[in-house]
Amino acid sequence: MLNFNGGTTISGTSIATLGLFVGSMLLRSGDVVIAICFLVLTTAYVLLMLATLCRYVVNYRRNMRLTPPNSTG
Amino acid sequence: MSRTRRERTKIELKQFVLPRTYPKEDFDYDTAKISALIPTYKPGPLTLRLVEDLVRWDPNVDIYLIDDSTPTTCTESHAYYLRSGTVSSRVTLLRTPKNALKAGALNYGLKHIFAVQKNKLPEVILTLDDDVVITRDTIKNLVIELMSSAELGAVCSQCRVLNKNKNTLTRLQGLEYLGFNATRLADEGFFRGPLVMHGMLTAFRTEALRTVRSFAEGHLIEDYEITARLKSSGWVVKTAVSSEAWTVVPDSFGKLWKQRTRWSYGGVVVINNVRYLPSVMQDLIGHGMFWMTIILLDVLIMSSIFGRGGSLSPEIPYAIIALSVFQLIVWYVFQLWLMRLYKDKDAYDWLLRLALVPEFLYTNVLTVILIGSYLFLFFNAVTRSVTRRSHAFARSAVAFGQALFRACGYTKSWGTRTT
Repeated sequence: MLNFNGGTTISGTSIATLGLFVGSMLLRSGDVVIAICFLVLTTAYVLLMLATLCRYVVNYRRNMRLTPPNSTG
Repeated sequence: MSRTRRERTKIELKQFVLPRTYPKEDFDYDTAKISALIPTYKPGPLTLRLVEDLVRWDPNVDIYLIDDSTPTTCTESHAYYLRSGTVSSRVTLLRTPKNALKAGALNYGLKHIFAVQKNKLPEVILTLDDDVVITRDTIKNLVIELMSSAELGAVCSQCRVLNKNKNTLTRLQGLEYLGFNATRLADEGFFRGPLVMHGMLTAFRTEALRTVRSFAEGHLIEDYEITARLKSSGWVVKTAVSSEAWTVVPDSFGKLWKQRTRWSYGGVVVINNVRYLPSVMQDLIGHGMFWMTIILLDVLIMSSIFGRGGSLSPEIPYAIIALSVFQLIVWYVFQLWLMRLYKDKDAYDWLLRLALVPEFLYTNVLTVILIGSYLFLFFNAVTRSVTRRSHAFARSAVAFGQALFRACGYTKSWGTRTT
């Protein structure tokens, strides 16, 4: 899904710069339908990131309870 | 078996936030019967070290070193291969009759195990790359994690980069692998687990391997392919956070490009061929979002060129910008937090991470490779109908396209071990 650092499809930095680019373009073009579509898409990206982070935190805590000290997450 | 398992595993949307847990079982590692398959081509000092470490630290592991027809003219490699066989009576040397590539060599080893040990099969089969470096507890922790639940079919180790300090590119891959480990942990309990049980070091439950029969030969990324099939058969996979292993990564841009075009196109092919879509859920979402972005971006550019403008209130563009900046901040803070788990880090790694730009450029190169993979898939789908009987122009165009993609590193065959 959302790769925290590069990986196959999405990266945080790319999305952020894309958002800035799209936002500034929309300010000029003023197309309502495209703007709403992009808003939905950006919201989906953010939700996916937050969901992934949430799962990471849950699994990290579960694993830390089960694994010996000096192990990594 | 697979049907029962599939019925038992329901698709639940709450898994997006709250990963599933599986019932735990006790397992006595010391009495476990384990086999390790190490396919090798032109083995070197790291191969010998791996065999020695396995013999020294894991007394219940039988090791099968499978030489994938290294040319006999490679005397140094041949010497390492033979020396590996003298380390212990637990090391068995095998050699494929002809170069079968990684999946073929693994299948050759599997056939041998199933034939020779048919009366008492191992409970766990490990697959390892021949240049992996392990610690005293790597295998033990991996196997204990695998056998901790009857639902688990495979568990992979953590990935670290052995030659991280060689240059900036290897350091960037070290940071990327840190992200891979984090993503795998986040995907534990999410639609049967992470996308890929990597070929570097994975422990398979023998019963699970028998369910999916064997590795797919001729596939570009056999590890992703077998993971998808395991999950399609109802098995769950995960990563073992306490099992650390190091591997050698490409140290030049050309080698990295070649590796990533293989991974990228191989991944697209897996999704294209998969029978049970939830087994590649993460990639489906990732590719879907990517395509939606590309399409919308094209529409936006066309609209700004040819459109007449509209009466958009500025709140929406500002909201898009704000959400993007919010995402960047959360993502960046998490990246910095993740560095505390990166044991191999030094000041230069911190600098790379803090600077953002190198990783930004690196990930955009990967995006270019991904777009190339889509184009290659499209090209192959369109040109499938072109045969020897087709018009000369069509055949020339296909030949030109194939040559162009080959020059860019895109092929349908896995050729890295044939030279």
